[in-house]
Amino acid sequence: MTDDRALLGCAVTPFRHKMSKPKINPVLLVSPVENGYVAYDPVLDRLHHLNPTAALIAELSDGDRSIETICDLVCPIMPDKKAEDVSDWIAKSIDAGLLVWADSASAKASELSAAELFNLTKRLRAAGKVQTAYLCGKRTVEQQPDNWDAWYDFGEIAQCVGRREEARAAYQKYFDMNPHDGEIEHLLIALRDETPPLRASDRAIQHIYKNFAPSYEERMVGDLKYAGPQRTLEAAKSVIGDRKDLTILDLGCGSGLTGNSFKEYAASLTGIDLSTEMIELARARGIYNQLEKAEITEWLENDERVFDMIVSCDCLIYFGDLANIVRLASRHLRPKGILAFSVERGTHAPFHLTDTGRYNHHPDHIRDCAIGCGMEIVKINEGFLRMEYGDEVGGLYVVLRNPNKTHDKRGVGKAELQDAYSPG
Amino acid sequence: MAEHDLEKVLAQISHDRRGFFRTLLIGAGAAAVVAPILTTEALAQKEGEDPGPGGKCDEGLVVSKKTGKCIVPKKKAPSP
Repeated sequence: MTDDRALLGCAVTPFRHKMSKPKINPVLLVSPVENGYVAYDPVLDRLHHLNPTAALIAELSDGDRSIETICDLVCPIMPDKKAEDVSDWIAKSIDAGLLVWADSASAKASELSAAELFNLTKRLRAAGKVQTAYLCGKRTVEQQPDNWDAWYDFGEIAQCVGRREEARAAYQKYFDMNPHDGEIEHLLIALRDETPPLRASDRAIQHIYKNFAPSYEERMVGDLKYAGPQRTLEAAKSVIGDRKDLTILDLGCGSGLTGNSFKEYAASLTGIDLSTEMIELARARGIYNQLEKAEITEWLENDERVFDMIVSCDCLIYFGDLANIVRLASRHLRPKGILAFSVERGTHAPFHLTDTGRYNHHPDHIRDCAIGCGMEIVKINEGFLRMEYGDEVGGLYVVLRNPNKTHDKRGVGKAELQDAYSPG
Repeated sequence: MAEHDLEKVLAQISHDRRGFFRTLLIGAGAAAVVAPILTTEALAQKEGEDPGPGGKCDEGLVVSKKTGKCIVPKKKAPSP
């Protein structure tokens, strides 16, 4: 025994014999990853990471090969060719519960059930361990191909780890079972590289925010460091000046984050949003004089009111070509009135539907829209918008000014009706 | 590393894993083959750790108002 241990260089676990046969602990969930293996231990709730050489030894540890055989196979490919490295690692792995002896009582397998795996995937994802969540999510859908919830989750996780094709296939599976989900229908257009629609459908928006509303602010402000309203306000401050008596229209007001940033400059604040759930959040904030549930294009086409300022944050990301919305908004502005909004900054002109289902916009498109609608460009700032999958998303903060005239329904300039708005 | 040594060991593992290990051990260059390393991490949140996404702690822990870290909630003293 002593000779064997000395021969094998073991100092951690008492080896019974160099002919002992290790195998991967059957309770573990093992999956190959880009840099080796990961193995989840559901009993001790911990995760093992194995580098490539360790993964190879684990693979060879099938309960039929002895330590000596494994050393003979692996040592020649290692730079130092030291058997102790292999045997030490096996000893440590036995201690850590990664490996067990083939003949030990603990070697009885107890696989994770599909439901346990599904829950583990959710937990790993919530803990930010997306790579492992991806592996577990993949196993979940293999085990439960009819679980549409698992396909949805796997689509999201696959997207998180940059596996676009797998994400598309997973969302497609989910959508086949849930053909009324407007959000995924819209997302699939992007993932299939199809020609994008002019804007996300009402059904898609309503579906997104029905699910998102309960955690919207926690996720946007807390997790994603969303800076849209503050940055838009910063961009607009130079033209707002000291005025505190503005009539402000908040397009796509959502939960009222934008209204909250602009309320101190408002004599009256009107909010429009398509989502019932988000409107209720805005109402609970108690800062809006009026709140209406409507699709903003339709509202702008049919309403007659005019405002000193129109703001829109995190809303025009659901629109492709912005020309129509800018033209319609300009008709609701008093002379010298301001249109301030944020969009995601795009690198492809004029705009692009991204894999997240949101559109981003090139600055040239914003300029073209402004000029085409007869609006004066005050500012187009670039800066941080929010985080996404751990990366910063860049935003455009746009401030346009209505020239000294009003527009009729067709957007044609006509005689000024209101007192001129003088920026402070 | 001699290629025949690698092929010898790869011949011992299941067929569907050979390509994976070949990429893993050769694809990243010679530096990929080093001593085996095992690292283990506990998944359950421990007292004193930062809250997870959404600012929440795992079940059984709460966010401390003082430190912002996860702590075991104090039990109220039994009323007399």
